Amino acid sequence: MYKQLVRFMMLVSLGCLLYAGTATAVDFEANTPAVTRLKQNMRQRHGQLVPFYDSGAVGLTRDGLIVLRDANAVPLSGRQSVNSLVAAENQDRNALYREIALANNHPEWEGNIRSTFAQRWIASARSGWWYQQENGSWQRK
Amino acid sequence: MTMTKSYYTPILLVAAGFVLTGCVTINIYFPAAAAEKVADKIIEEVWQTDGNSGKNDRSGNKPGNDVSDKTDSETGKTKP
Amino acid sequence: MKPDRLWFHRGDFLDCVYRLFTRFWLFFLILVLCFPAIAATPRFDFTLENIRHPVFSIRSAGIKLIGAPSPTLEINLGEVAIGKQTWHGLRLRCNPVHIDRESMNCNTGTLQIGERFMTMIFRLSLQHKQFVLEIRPASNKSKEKWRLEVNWQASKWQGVLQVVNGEGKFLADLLPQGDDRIQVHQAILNGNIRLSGNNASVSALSARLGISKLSFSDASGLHAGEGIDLQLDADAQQKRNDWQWRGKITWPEGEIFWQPFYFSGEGHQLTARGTVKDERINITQGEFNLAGTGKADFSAVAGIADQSLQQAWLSARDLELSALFGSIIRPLAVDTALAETEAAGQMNIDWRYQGNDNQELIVGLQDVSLTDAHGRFAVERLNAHIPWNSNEKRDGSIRFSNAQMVGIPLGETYIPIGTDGMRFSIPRAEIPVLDGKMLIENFVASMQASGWQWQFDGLLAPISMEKLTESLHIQPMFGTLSGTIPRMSYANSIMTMDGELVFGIFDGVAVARNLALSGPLSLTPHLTMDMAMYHIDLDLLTRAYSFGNMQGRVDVEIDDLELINWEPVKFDAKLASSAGDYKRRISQAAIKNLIALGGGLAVTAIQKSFLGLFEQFGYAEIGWSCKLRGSVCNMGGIGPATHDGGYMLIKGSGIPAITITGYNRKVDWPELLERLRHAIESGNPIIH
Repeated sequence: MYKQLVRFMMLVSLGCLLYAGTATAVDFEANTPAVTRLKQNMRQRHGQLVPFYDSGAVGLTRDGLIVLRDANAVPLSGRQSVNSLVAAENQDRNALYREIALANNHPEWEGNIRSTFAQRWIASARSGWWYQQENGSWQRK
Repeated sequence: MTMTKSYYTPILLVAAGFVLTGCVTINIYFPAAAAEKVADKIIEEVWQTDGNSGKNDRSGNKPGNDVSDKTDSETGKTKP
Repeated sequence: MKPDRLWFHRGDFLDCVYRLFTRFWLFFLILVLCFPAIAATPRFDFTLENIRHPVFSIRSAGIKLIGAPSPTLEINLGEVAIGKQTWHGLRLRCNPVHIDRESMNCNTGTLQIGERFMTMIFRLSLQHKQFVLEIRPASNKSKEKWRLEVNWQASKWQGVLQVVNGEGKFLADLLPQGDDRIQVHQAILNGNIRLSGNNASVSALSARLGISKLSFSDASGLHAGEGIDLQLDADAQQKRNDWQWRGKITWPEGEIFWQPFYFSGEGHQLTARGTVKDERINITQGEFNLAGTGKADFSAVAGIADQSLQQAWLSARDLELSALFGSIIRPLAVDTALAETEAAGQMNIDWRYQGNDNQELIVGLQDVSLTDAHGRFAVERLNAHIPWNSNEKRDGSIRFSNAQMVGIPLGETYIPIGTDGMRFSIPRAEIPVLDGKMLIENFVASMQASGWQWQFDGLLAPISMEKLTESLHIQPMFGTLSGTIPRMSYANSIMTMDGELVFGIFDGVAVARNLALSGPLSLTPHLTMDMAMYHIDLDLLTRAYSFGNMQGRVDVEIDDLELINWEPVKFDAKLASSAGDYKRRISQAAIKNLIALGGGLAVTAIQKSFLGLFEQFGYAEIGWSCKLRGSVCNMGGIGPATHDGGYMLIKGSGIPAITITGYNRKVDWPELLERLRHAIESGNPIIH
């Protein structure tokens, strides 16, 4: 009986693994006109942001956004425009997470999508860029 | 033997319960791996990187070409 | 160095001067008290462990006087604390010091504060009733000099502090430090401060100060200034219990970033005069001149103790909106549609404040134009008078010569508006839209916790569909758009329409209902609606698009239509021949285009050979359906699938008849549109 139970559990877990496999293989949709439009917009802006990522003025936050973390690295006259670049980028990033969740018919996934992106932005960042660690402190990659 | 059996059974049942509920939870869970792939693809497009960071200009042209190639091949596919 | 500090914290600057003064004053008072003793004995040694005062405290003060013919004076202060600032190891040494009954002179003294050495001269003459102190920091090559001269007659006294290339950082460190922790990195002071008074009180003050090369910042760099030059010119006099003052600050050079604003010194000027009485500061006449933007007159009454604004009045005429937009409005509107708006024209502002719940604001716009960088909206020759009162209703108006909203041109419009607290209303307005007009009635907008909400009832008078589709840059359509809108409302950034919009197109009728638009001015507007079209004349339709002639009538139903960024991502569409008796013919060109469009359409060989022979064919029924999901359209035709898995698009009838069957059930939607566009543009059939 004990052996049977173990065998049963093995089967269940195997089924589970397979099931998990199929579950994760589920199509994850991120191809809507909204996402395309946001990607275009962000790609155009990225070139302007790179020097600020490089200088450490702007860093990647743990919640998938960016922030002006060290304004002293930017000349005074440029700080306002960095501010508005950061605000516009965050607006697009927030919209991107929302639109991807909507594209999958799961608006409640927005938070998961945000945290996935938060990790991937940081993982894809170039060395020298600053990012926020889980505990909130800043780290240079 | 009977001792062991009676001793293990409740634990196994609880464990089985865990496995079963775990099974259900996986289904409810957000498809993290697929989302990660999609995120990587979007980041690649937005930042115009393709894994080799630094070579920005060369890789910058790539996605554009890819897209046009794709649409061409799709056009070919659906043509009668 | 907050700009308002100078005016509202009267304490900061004056206190500082006053503290410095009392510091020296009391210090020399001690000296004077000791004076007879010093003169009498060749050697004097005096130690005080603790001196306390509400303003300062001194620990272990030692005064020494040694040697008879050329005596040396030495004063050591272990610790001096003024406010929150503490200095250790203050040491004053005079060798020699000349002392007699009438005077004390020290011509070569040194003053040491911590690591800093300064040369010092002082002269005290009881005969001339004068005291002079001059300090020159030794290490400094900029010829820095601080000179204090005090003269007195009976109880009246007069002091002048003269500063030449003074290190302002030293002075700034004396200022009370707030929580914002703004650090002054550099500042050079030149000018003088005159004080006069009676006994221990000050009765008049005047300052002519130039601050140059001022730079400051906080740790985050969100509040910072660089290379700032400031000219300060201020006078204050005590008349009985009040102070009367006037001041002028000119800012000719430098830049300041004060999140989220950025200003550069281009000769901005602030002048003000007023009184200080009963713990209240009263600005009776103020003028703020912002170079490039315009000037504002103001007056205000503020409490000093609680730092509260009790009354204020401000009036500005003909402000340049382009400059005002760039420096003030846009930085405040980063998250709104105004974030990327260019503006031109003039603005008037009148503001009256008598407490938070008693305010009035009147905004006037003259010949203003607003243009969105993304082309989402534009307004030309906008004139407005918008009064607002926190307690009462006010009536105003908005007028513009022309405008554009998501590409749709709007004509000359007059809109009467009413304001009532945070509630705005438009009883009735007529806006010309293309060749028709839109009537708005009972418009009400109000600020709620979730953001702005508004609603109105409307009416669309016939608008040409041809012009509308042209200005929206979408597939051209013909006919007219009209309808009543029982209620259009906006809340939580979603715009919804109750009622039906009725279009007359291609001799038929189209109806749009359940319309909801979210994020109308965002980058990614979402539109959902249901649409139906009845009795569309195929002849007009195919002629309009030069698709190849078809005759007949069709009904179209599009349910669950969803557009993102104006592109369809989802719908369930069904097209079928309308009921009724009418001519049903299809031309050879149209058939060829249909074949090209559909991809795998099957035409039997016999029928194919027919194609060349006849120009026109008869049909009994047309049917087509498309369920769009993402970019894939799942197609179907008339009735159930045929025996070979196809679906019938055209069911033939009469002589010659033609039947068309499709086999491709999944079609790429953008590709289909592309082919349609091609067929329409070329006006010729394309056959592969």
